[in-house]
Amino acid sequence: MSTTQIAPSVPVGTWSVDAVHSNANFEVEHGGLSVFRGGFKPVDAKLISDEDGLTLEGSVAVDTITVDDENIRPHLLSPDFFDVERNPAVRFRSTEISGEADDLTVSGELSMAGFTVPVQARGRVRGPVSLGDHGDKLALSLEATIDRTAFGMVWQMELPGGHDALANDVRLLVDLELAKE
Amino acid sequence: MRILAIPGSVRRGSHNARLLRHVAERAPEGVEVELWDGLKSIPPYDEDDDTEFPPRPVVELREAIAQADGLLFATPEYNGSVPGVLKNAIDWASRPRATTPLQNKPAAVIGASTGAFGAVWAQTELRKVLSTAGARVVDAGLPLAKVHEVFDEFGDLRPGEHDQQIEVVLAALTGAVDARRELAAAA
Repeated sequence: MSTTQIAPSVPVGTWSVDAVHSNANFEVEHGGLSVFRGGFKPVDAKLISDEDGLTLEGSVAVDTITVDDENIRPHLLSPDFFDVERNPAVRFRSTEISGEADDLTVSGELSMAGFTVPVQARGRVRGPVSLGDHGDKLALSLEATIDRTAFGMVWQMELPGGHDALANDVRLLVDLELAKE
Repeated sequence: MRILAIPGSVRRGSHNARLLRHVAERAPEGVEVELWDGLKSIPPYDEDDDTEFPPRPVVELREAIAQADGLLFATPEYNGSVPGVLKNAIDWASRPRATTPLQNKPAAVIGASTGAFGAVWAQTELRKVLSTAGARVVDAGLPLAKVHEVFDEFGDLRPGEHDQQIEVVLAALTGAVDARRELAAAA
């Protein structure tokens, strides 16, 4: 593992996701104009803080995807996009976490739709705070922009105005609440 | 392995139905290609009728698709696209969206026309429609042009280059079915 600068406020230990208070969402520009949103729930994630630094692992099940228009969901699950039958999960594993608590850089590999691609996310970590009987909690918020075509999701349709129906860049927004094990 | 073969035209003597019968006769051992002839019985899609108790022909169509391991469509081309009657049937089969029997269903598209291009536009559009509905559509196709010149006096397709392409299409379709079975077995 490469040298990392530990975010100062993450005490050593394993921090596991509190799924109720965690989200993994995405945004993609539609028609060159508006934003189309979707998400997955629950999110599985674990942040490990040890002498080597921080390591983050996370995953979601593709078939938990939700979008506002139920008519689109089967297409997203199909081979044109996630190909859920062959690739039932989206997984992330960090290779390096560096920076300060309020300006984190998380590099890692995102596996989706049969492809594993390096990605870099920016974000921040807050806490820990003590929630009494609920123990110590951290919050980790991350954002990344990926090119969906790098994951084989090359589907496109040209709209009457000449715009693409769907942008290639997809913004990923992950908010995790993590509890000390 | 059961392949449901769906022709895109309903007339007696349909070239595409004949093409599918020709394919059925050449299916490899272990592959049963069953011609579906219910297209004409499917009513126009109407969301008012798209309830828990849909029209009987629609129920039968959905069950036929669900029970098939793969789908083979043979479409003519009307006004540069998929015949309305075939699109209508797919629209019914695609619903309810959460449980459509088309989801991940391996499907192949071939087509024949009396024109010079062998329904190639209709095939492209049919692949788009099936993919959007959730199916796993294989790339291999067959644009059979001037099909009326390819039939002999008994209404059978003469042997030709199309037979090699039919083998390619069937191999792609059965390959997708096999891959799906292997996934299910590993799960």
